[in-house]
Amino acid sequence: MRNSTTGWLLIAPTLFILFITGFVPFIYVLVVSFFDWNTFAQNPEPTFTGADNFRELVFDKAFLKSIWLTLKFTAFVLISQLVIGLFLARMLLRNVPLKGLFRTIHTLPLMIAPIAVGATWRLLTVPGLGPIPHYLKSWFGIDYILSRFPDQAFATVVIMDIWHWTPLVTLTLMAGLSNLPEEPLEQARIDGASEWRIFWDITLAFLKPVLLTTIFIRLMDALRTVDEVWMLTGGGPGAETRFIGLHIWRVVFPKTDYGYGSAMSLITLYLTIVMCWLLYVAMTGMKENKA
Amino acid sequence: MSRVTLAGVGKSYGALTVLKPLDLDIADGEFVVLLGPSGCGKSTTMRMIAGLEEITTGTLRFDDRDVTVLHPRDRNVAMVFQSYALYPHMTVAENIGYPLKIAKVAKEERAKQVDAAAKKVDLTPYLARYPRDLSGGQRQRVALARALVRSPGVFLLDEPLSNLDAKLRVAMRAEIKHLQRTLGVTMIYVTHDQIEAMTLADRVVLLNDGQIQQVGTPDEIYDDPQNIFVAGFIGSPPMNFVQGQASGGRFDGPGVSSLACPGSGALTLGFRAEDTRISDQGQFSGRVFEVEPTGESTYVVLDMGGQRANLRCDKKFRPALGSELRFDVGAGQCLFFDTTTGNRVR
Repeated sequence: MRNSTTGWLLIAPTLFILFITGFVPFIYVLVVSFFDWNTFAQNPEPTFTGADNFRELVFDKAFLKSIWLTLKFTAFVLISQLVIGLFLARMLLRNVPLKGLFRTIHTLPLMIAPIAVGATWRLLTVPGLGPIPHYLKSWFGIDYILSRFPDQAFATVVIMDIWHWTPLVTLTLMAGLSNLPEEPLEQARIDGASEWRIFWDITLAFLKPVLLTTIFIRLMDALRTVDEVWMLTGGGPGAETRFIGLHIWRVVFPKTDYGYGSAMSLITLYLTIVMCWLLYVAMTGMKENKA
Repeated sequence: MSRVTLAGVGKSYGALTVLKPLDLDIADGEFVVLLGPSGCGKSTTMRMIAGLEEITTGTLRFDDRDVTVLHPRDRNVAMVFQSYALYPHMTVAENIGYPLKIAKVAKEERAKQVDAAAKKVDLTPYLARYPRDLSGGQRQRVALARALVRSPGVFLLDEPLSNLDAKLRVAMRAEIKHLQRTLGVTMIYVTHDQIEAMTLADRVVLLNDGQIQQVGTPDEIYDDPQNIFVAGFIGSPPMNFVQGQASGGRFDGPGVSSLACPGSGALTLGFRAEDTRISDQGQFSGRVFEVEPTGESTYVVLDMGGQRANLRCDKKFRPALGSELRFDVGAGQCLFFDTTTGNRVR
């Protein structure tokens, strides 16, 4: 009993901070989402509107488009980062020349703040100043103008995110790969499996917990990407790279539509939870169900 | 099944030699146990036979086929690891059937062969379970079934019983031996447990410091050791050793005088606890240091001038601590070793 009390006392400060910084704001957002509240409107006072904000969201084309763009972005970056990260992790665990140097250079982007990454890429891509538009034009004859071509803007945002976050995937997968038990892999080799087959049948299965964790982290990060994109494209051209985070920011701050923005945040949170849950079930539940 | 021939097979890592070139001929259907203390090179030898370690020198042949540089999958060997190396995400049936799946055996045929292998090791009721739902002994049997299902030329077992409790180890030992006899397969078994080696093997290969110390049947290894290491490693309790001097065909040492012996100079006398007999007129003597009843017999530990010796006595025998005890060693049971080289002196 005494131990239990001491335990609670010890974690009380953490619980208090979490309550103040996590739970209270969440409840606040939840409450606000049922109000029409815009401080610059004719009636700046919050007005209870029930589920109106949520009803409106279902038909909000801009919101739905930002959701679609975010999902597309997430799918592109997640798959690319996993494939590239896994390839690099396997390569860096072998005895390749200059691997230490490459590993250091490869890890550098991780240490840069997202806003700085966005600023750097903006400098790289500004027409008339950045090297990317210059060389694309002189070598391949491609007109590269982010503010004009939506596909180019979207692809650049994806590439920037891959450049920034693949090192994280590489590092976590390297940790996972270096902790694989040797004997099942050797057993598979004796059983006659090729290296590719061993990777597919055995290595991936052992790597599943690390993969799952990495995917969760990157999925949640990708779904809430704001600063890099805001810095690089500002969500443009038009709204072609306006992901959900940027969209909510625009509604809540410049437009000061707090109620509607809160409803959007809640729906986004809900979508994130559902996606994570589906992913978890897909990756852990399939085998058990099959059995 | 295959005959396995190691001709000058050795292993080095740069300048460090971990296994000196060894020659060994394992007959078709023979059960050979590689025995030795940790780090003696027995597992390395087995891994080289499996193809998991590169052979630095020499050649390895299965029948007349040179397999020295072949990939493990091309050697037609099956291996059971100490940790069983089961695939945790596959059911028992999938584990057993994995080598067949790799070999692209049709599904129906695969199921048939998996059933047959499972039956041989009494695993039929557990085919749908996952390894985590099985006991240690059952996991061991899954690993055996997975080895059996391929009908390999050579079976390799790397300390397969080490992770089991003592009782299960004895039971599984008998099962493995029975399986080998029934199927008539060539089996190479690595262990550091001499009891396992003695009970299982047709022939024991005793290794130490990366080289073979002796190859022989369990009886030969036990009764006729070629050097002091073999004599001391095999047997529980280990052989008693008394260091002394020999001249004119007579050996003198603490607690023993004028014992007929071959050779001369610094010799070590060796005798086993069970070859001793308490006798008032005995040629050997020592003071009782400790008495250890085991139920079926009593071991008396004697102090022979600072060197300890175990005697196996009647289970009711209880000598007083510190008393002097005389005993004899059976005719022909005294072995002599050169104290400097450790080699047997005959």
